[in-house]
Amino acid sequence: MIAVDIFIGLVLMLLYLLIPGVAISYHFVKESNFEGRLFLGSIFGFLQVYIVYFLLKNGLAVLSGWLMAIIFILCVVSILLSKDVRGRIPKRVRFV
Amino acid sequence: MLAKLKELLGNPLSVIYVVLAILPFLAGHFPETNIAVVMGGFFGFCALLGGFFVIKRGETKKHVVPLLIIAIIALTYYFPRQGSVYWPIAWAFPLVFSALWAFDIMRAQSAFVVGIFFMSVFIHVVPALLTDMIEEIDPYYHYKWGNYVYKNGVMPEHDYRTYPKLGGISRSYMPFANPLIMAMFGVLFGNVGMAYHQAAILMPALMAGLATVAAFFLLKEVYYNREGATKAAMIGAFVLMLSLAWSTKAHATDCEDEAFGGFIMLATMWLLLAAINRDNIKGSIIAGLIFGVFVTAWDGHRLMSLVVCGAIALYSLIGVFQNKRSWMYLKHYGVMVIVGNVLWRAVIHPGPGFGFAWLQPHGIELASFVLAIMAAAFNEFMLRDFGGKLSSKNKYSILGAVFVIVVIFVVPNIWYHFYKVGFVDVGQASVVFRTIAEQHPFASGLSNYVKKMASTLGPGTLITLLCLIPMVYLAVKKNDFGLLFLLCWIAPMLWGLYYKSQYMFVASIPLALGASFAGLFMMKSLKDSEGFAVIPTLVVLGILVVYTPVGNVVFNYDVNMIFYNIASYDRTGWESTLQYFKEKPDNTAIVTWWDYGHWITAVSEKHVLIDNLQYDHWEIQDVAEFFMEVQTEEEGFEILREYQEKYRVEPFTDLYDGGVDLKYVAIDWTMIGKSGAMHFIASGNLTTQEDGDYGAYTICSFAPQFSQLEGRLVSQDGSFEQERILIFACSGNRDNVGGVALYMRSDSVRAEVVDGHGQRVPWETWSKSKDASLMGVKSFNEVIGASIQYADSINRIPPTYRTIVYASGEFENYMLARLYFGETIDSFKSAGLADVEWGPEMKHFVPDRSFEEGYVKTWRIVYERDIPLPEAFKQNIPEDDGDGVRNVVAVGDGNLSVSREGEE
Repeated sequence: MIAVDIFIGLVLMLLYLLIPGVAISYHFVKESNFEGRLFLGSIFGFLQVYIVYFLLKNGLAVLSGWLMAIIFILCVVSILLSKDVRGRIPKRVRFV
Repeated sequence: MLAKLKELLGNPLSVIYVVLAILPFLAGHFPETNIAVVMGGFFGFCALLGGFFVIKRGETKKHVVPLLIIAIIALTYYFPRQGSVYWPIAWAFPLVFSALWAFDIMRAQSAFVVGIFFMSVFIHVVPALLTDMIEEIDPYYHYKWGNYVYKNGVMPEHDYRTYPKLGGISRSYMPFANPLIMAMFGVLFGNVGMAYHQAAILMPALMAGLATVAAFFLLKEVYYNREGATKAAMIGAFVLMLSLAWSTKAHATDCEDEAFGGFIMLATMWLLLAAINRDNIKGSIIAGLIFGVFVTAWDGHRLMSLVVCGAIALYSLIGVFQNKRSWMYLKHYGVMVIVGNVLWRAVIHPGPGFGFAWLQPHGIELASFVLAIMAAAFNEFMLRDFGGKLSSKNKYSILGAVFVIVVIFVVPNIWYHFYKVGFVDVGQASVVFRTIAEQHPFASGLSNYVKKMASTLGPGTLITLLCLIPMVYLAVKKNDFGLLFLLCWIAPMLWGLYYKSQYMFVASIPLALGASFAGLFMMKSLKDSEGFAVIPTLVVLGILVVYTPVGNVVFNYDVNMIFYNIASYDRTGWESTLQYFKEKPDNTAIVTWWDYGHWITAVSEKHVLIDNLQYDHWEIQDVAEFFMEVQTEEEGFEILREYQEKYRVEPFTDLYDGGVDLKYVAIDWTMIGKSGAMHFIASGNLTTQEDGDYGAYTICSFAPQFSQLEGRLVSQDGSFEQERILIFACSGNRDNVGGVALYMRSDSVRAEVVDGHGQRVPWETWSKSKDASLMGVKSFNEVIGASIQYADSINRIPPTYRTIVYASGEFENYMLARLYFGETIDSFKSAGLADVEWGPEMKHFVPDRSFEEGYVKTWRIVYERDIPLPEAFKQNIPEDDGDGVRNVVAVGDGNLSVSREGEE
């Protein structure tokens, strides 16, 4: 593989795990620090396995695609809405 | 922030760090001449310059770390070895983040975690830069199922592509989270023009990075509330990252479940210990959620249960003497196990459709859990008397009953599952398993064990070995759960690895993490250098230096091998064959040895009789008998025809009209070497598990260093003729053939056997006394010609051109020889080197294709018109219209077809 593809692939995988994972850690594990939250987020990201495994096992592949997309968007919004993030974004660029 | 930036711009150290962090990425564009001296010298100079600025400007001593990293990069350039080019880039990540720490922009832990994550991902992703091919054999099993999920959007329920006599094998209860995640990433990659294959290549590298971070956090919990815990955890994570044994599975292109499994195990352990250390039930529920994912991914959860329950049991026993209750530990483990077990059963079950797996946990999990419960109960009984709920009379009866249960049921159960079936398998009697290299012991003796541990698991494991006794002392004296946990993890793996090399990867984790213990006692500052703390500091630093380029040169620990965990010629040599089979109809089946089963089912997506799971030993023995037991073509064909009959009934007729066509035989060059294992299985007794015979073909390789290629003048009938002597050195064999000497003249060839004592015996005499022949994949003339022409670079030509094969007795007539050497046997007969009754022509096997200069050859199986239709098939074919009986016939190019009798 070429280096650019490797880089893009790794970033995509990390984001896929981190976005839902960090959303969960923001809302349920308050006491973690920066690197702890990121790492915890990457672990929680694997909880998606339950949903997809369950749906595919029951022949609901199409639903799993839509559901994961909706969950992903909700996670992004929930991170942006969280107090922690809102506090870090300067007011003039804050949009939520 | 802006002020800090301005401050940094005015600091020469920041300029040095930025330039040196970028430089390795650009070094590929520099001219190669003198790059070692120029770059090595430049980085070394910058390290000194940086040191000067630190002293001159009175900067913090934290800058020692980035300057040390710069010095390591300088050494890497100065001592170039294959793969060294990647280290400067790898070290650039910790250089940047340690610099940010030194400038007080990041905290030490943040800088370490982010820096080591990027470094670990990078060094384990390098194989993806070198190849696009998935590595070796077992990863293809996961690749196959990931591809299945990716293409079909359902989880695998049944594998129809292997073990036809069983009708395939059920996969409903298999933990397939690893293939599923690869498929999920594959779908994700589709958005940027990539696909599943790239996801399968890259995912393990990401897991290697995450696992290093998980190891760090886990070790912090192991040493919870201890001084120096962070430093110790850093050492453990570093040693794991650079372990060769760990990297054999945790790297890009190896999509087996072990990298993901290793990460998820470390993460689960971390969450459990974090919950225990904080006595937080919510934490153990979260650990249970992850434990459920762990169980759906990898079998390592059995090991984890043994480790945690062993630690709880020991803590309970020691706690009795130290007045420490163990109930809390059992409580958190119990919550985790119950939550996880409920969840994974809702996910893995026979599908498709909703359901719940009513499976009994593995014996070792049950036995371990019962042991932990008994031990905690004993602890509670001794310390709290169960809150006075039992009468004094009952107490001793219950105590006695518990003791009896533990001694008679629990301990033997754990031992049975650990020793016999769960972990070590050293007592397992199986003809098939005895032929598998990874089932063999790792070492031949204690000193060999230590040496091999250092060279494969990494020199950091020596620190673990040195720490064992003080670790035991401290664990018992303080009844420290973290240390007991670490010991319960190290001890079984240390013992298991010795007996079974298969555990190299699993054992690499605790044996690397154990090195962290020394970090607890390292000196905190230069002021401590007068005390005992200097000893562990020097030992740890001395051993860790072996991981640097200095270690490469001085200690010969080749850490660069991390980059070269890539597909070997065994795999690349098969690629063209696999692509060829991929073009064939889906209902095609191929007979070959199990080693190539996963490749054919995963890459070619075709059927095989057996695969690397070694699931059905009887079918494996059938195939072994086909290649290495039967001595006539008819006998071999009868074995295959029996399989063809199986392929003509359900469930295969449900999959394809007319079932599956067993159509090809494939043999590769490595099967000559594997002939011993095949013969062992073929001649073994699967009922009594009595050993077979390990006789094998002998490979004789051209040895230019012993040959006389220039030729010498010898007198013959009054004139002189030039004679060359070609020596072929033979692998070990029971006929005691050390080598074969071929005396080549312009119009004749004479052969002599050099026996194990150096005696030379004319081939005519030897072949008659031993009933022996010489054969080859390539013709005799091709082997001789290529050997002479490429004598100076003999290892660069395909092995088929530089080897001949020695066979004696019944080995002359096995199907492996008849097929693989059939096309060339006449050339050896003409040279007077082979004396067999068979020739290239065969009735049922037609030469099909030769790949990679004969490295792999394939044959079509021809089913004659007069082969009677099996009864079972007659019962399953559609109703005939009454004007004839259907028969299995060969049509056109020998393809199988069904037609009516008498029909053209």
